Amino acid sequence: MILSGLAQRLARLAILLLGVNALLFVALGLAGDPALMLAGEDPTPELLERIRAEYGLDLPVWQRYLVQLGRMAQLDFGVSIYTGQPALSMALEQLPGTLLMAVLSMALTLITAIPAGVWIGHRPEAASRRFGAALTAVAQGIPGFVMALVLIQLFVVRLGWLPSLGYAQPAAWILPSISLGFFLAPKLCRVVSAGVAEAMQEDYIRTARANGASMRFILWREALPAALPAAVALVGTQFAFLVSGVVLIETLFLWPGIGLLLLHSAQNLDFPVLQAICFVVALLVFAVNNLADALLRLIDPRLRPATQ
Amino acid sequence: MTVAPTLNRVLAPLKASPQLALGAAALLGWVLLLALSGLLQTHDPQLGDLSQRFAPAGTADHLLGTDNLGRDLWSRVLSGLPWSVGVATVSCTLALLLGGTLGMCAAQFPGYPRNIINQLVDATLSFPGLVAAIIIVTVAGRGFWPLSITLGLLSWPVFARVVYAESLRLLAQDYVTAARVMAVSTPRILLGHLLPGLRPVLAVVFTFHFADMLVAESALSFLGLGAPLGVPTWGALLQESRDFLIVAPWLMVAPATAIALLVVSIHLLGDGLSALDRARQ
Amino acid sequence: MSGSASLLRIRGLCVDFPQSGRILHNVSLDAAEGEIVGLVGESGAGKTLAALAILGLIPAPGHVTGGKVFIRDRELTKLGEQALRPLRGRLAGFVFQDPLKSLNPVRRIGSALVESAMRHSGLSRKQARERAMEALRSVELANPESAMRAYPHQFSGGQRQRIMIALALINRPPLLIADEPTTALDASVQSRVLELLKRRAKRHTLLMITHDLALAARFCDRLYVMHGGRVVEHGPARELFSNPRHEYTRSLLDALPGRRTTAPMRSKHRKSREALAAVRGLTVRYRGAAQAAVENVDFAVHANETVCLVGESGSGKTTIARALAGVIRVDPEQLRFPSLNDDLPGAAVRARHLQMVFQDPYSSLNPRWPVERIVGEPIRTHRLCGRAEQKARVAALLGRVGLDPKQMDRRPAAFSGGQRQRIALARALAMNPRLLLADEALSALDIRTQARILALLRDIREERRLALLLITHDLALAAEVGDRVIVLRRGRIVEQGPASKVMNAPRHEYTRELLAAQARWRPENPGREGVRMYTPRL
Repeated sequence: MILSGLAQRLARLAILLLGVNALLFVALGLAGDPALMLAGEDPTPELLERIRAEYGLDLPVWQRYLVQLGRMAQLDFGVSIYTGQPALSMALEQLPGTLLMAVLSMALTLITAIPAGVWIGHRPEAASRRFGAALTAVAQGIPGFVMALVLIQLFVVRLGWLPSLGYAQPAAWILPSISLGFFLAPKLCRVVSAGVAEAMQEDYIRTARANGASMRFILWREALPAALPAAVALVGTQFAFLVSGVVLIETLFLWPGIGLLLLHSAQNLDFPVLQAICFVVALLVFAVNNLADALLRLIDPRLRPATQ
Repeated sequence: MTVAPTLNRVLAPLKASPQLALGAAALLGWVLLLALSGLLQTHDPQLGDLSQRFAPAGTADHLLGTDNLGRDLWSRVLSGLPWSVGVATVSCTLALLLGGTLGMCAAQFPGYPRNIINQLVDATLSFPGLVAAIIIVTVAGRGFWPLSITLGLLSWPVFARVVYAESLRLLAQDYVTAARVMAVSTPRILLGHLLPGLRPVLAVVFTFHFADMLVAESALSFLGLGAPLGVPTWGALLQESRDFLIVAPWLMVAPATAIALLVVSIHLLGDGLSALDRARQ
Repeated sequence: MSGSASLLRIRGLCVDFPQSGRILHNVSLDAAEGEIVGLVGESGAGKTLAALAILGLIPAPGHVTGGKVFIRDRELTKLGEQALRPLRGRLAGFVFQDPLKSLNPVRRIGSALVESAMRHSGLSRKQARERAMEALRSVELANPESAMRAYPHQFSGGQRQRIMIALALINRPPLLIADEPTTALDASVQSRVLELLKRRAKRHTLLMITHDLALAARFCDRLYVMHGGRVVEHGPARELFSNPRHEYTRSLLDALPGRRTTAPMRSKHRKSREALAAVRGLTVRYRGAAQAAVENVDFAVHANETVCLVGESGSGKTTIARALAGVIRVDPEQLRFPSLNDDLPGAAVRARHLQMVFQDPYSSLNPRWPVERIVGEPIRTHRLCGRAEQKARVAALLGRVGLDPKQMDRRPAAFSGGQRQRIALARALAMNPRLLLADEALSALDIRTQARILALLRDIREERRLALLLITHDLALAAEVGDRVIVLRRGRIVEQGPASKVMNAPRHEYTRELLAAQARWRPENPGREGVRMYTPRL
């Protein structure tokens, strides 16, 4: 079962990579003659001819496609047409910055959203919880990048408490992480609260009460564990969405990461780098999805293969 | 004669759920604003008055203030609305049609069609939409149709997944089996039993997705990739405001508030609809 | 009755819910030490609520508005939540109906037991573990060591219910409250769980809540009959069973299989050898399943007869029904309709030949459609009559199944379970079939409703000369109504033959086991008329 699940996932990854690759290939064709871009200003016809021969641009389209597919299979994405550096290493160099922000904001998300979700889900009909739920709904409605602008205005421009740009000092990590947290935290909070509220209606909560368990025990040891699988599944499926958020937040804070590189490369039509970025991003999401699934099997025994 | 009962059927859920009523009221306000956006603009959104540069919000003639070229912000905010709503409507409808059809196909035809569609859905959903959108829009160019179609093509799996799961549930109901036993034809089952059954779920997903598409459009415009230059969508206004965060904060506050308000009202409606759906079951 | 000292005393208990008003009216109940007391009634009678009220466990908006509850002379209704909590599980332990839903799916069995033991008895973790193992052994669960580490879904239904009993008894409460403890279980498992409860009841007082009057009469010392939130009658079990005073109790007894006046179903029409459906070597294997759901099954249904297909859950009975109805595709060689001219009838021809009524009255009618459209669906599909006539046709069908045709504009939500089953029956009859499949069509209904629907079915089958294939887990029902009985086990037929023969002289061991399991806890068959095994001694 596990093996076939993994095989399915790998197949999906292959579909995704092929799809993205084909998309970029078509995009490259639409974007204009790459030889012109490579040749710089005022190219002579001979120079163009030489570049075409060198990069294989004189071959028919399908051959060109297969050639670059073959290169990609060997993890050779070519060099950036802008800086001349290898594309893959450019993308990988930016990864730590992106990961730092992702991990920080994920930690922030977990330590705020789960307690808040449990608190709201405990008695969703109470007035204070309704207010909390409404607040969460509003937070969910404010797009993360808009929230980031508001936070910058407040804490950087008005109060001057925090630096807005840079990456060297940890104080500059705070705002980007909080802003990115807004992409996922409200959703997670709602899923946890809905899960806890639903679990509280289940028969096994009645069993626990009939056995004299305290409300605290019931909430944290009975209802939350039952609500957690849905939360983990959400984090898994929404990670791709979180990466979208990373792109926006990095642009906003000029944070050196993969998102910023993506935007610059897109503006420069630097297709080798774009290929490499898409490859890295797809692998990253793939890794996190699998991690989430493994975690899911750990906390939800029903998903484990039968042993008894 | 028939107006009163119909009206009642529409109003009954609103009475039952204050959330839904509030969402519907807010949305009605937005629709009015959209319909009258031309009439309500006090100034030409593109024409600046250099003597009136950086007038703060609340200035006599300029409700929300003016920008660096002296253009009226209130008129600019209003004139960006139809464009954004248009993009969201087209992309959502496209995603609904594509995703709905494929989701129903996956539920009705087990075997290869189901496997292929589901693999496609999962693969697409595991790639960050914004990353793909940035690349496509960069190449395809700005503009209403490229942007709408890109967003629609990237987001149909959202509908496909929900429609697939809900269709499976509905097709397993005994009344569908009963229809099969009665030799009701498959198209008739799909039209008579499945589609009406999908409606509540589709309404909920469409509502939330509409909000997501609004946000996606403004994010792309904010990155300078969505609306063409000169169309003051809210994302573009936010992008412009970044240069004047210190001198003119209102330039950021107005479009930010507008986006947040619009999305929150749509979410309110969506929450109300899904609560209604849950109450029905 | 070992001791006579009173353990549980309920006096004039009233429970209100803000939306629906008073649900429990003035309920009084006594249970002496060591006694088994039954609380009997149909669903919605307030049995569970009364039991939950004992330890202040009424769900949120509801509250006790009057009356007192004592256990060993301690007044529990005076105590607040904080004071009650340590008493729960210590004064009384609960066993609930559905053991799968009543155990937290993501917690280990051991952790649930150990936490509960530590909470109340102040034991160390090690001692609590010992206590938990002991509790699991006392409910005769094999291999308690590994059970402690397992999760609820890894057990069978019967094992889960044993674990629930262990959990209820781990703090050695004097009172054990069992709420429909065997309703969700198969007959053979039911019997073993009941035996276990009976053995445990030697040390504990047992309050047994059940809808099964026959079971309660045999199992309990004294009975309380509840109806509409009131106790309508109480007394020693045998006495109440043989000599009911209240009209409601009498109506319950009269609806029991074998005693209801509506039976038997056996047709007065002459038997015919015309086979309406013949199954030969039917084998169905679901994709990905290791075992075939149905394997090599042979039987036939003839005109004018009632055939009962009996089996526990997972025996393949529903699969057979679906294959017959054409919902599952099977090899045409394995399924024939000899009375139809062609061997391979088209879907429309088959639909007119054979119709089906389903188990779940809630899922078998489209909730969005008005009744007129539901019953009219086959009429429209097959153009059985003109548009103008359709309404009159639907009205006639509704009238026939005992519903008011004026209600045809309403949606299914406006009807009760029994009424919905009538609507489903009207829809099936609209096709004027010769063979009607009823897949557990009665098992979701209360016993009195069941009796009424059964009477209706009998009348209609007589009137229309229908053949009936009744699929059920209930051996008593099969014995009561079937001309022929087919016993299924794990997808294979173990025995088939005339009902009286199968019931009175079962050849196969499994049938004997099933019969014994069902008969053991119910008043014996006086032997008056072979198959009426449930007729109580009068």
